[in-house]
Amino acid sequence: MTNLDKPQTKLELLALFGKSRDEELNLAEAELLNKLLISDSRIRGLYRGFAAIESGLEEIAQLQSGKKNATDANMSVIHDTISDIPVTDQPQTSDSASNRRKK
Amino acid sequence: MNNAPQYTQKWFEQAYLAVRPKLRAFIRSVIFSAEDSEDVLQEVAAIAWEKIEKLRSKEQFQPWLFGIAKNRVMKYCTKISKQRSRSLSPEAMEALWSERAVSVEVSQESLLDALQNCLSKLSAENQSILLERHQPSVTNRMIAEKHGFSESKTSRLINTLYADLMKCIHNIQENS
Repeated sequence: MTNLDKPQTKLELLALFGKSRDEELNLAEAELLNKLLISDSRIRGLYRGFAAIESGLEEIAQLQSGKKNATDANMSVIHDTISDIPVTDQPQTSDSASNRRKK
Repeated sequence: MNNAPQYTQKWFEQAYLAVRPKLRAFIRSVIFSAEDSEDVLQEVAAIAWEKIEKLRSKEQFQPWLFGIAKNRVMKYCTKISKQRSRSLSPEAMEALWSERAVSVEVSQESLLDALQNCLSKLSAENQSILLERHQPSVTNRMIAEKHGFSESKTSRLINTLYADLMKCIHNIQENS
């Protein structure tokens, strides 16, 4: 049983998540991480917290770097992505959309 | 006779843009690769627009979009786990995703506000390290070289800062 109240344990888990983010897990670590995530809801909560901070820091870093106005840039990407897609109510494979994106 | 509501491209773009921060955080919680998660976001937008006539009402847009996103993420997970044996398994991602769906109404804006608040409580150097680390394509090794640390010390420092941020955000959310 993992005790997340022990700071060292939490730091060890964060290190494991960081390796997952950086794709640096060895096989044993990947198996351990999968096992922990499937079996322990508290570790899933910690993992989601880690991911939320990761995503939030990326957004803040982008905004502070001044490289883009996030809203305008996102609108442009959305517009470019969908502008040449015909609307249909016929079933289509998702791969057809997937193949048209990424200009 | 077709009773489906008509949706304009302009309406779709604005509705998607409003949901996008939450959707992005949702996808990033199971796909760590920023590049891959942006690809999935683009795919979700493309598929949603392609199938927009299946949306029953404007009020259903967000849950409908998240349903599309879940399908795309699970396809991504299955593909990646076959390619990379060291990535998260589809079972682990499903477990993460299922619980995430419960908390989808948590405001991404309030999380960002709390994060910025907590970030401002760190030393200027630590703030700088964290924000540099989260620029595209920056690695721990680059940060270590720039600041004269070992790579392992940099990893430990960043993990400690993450733990501090988590504790701070938890305290803010509990008191709000």
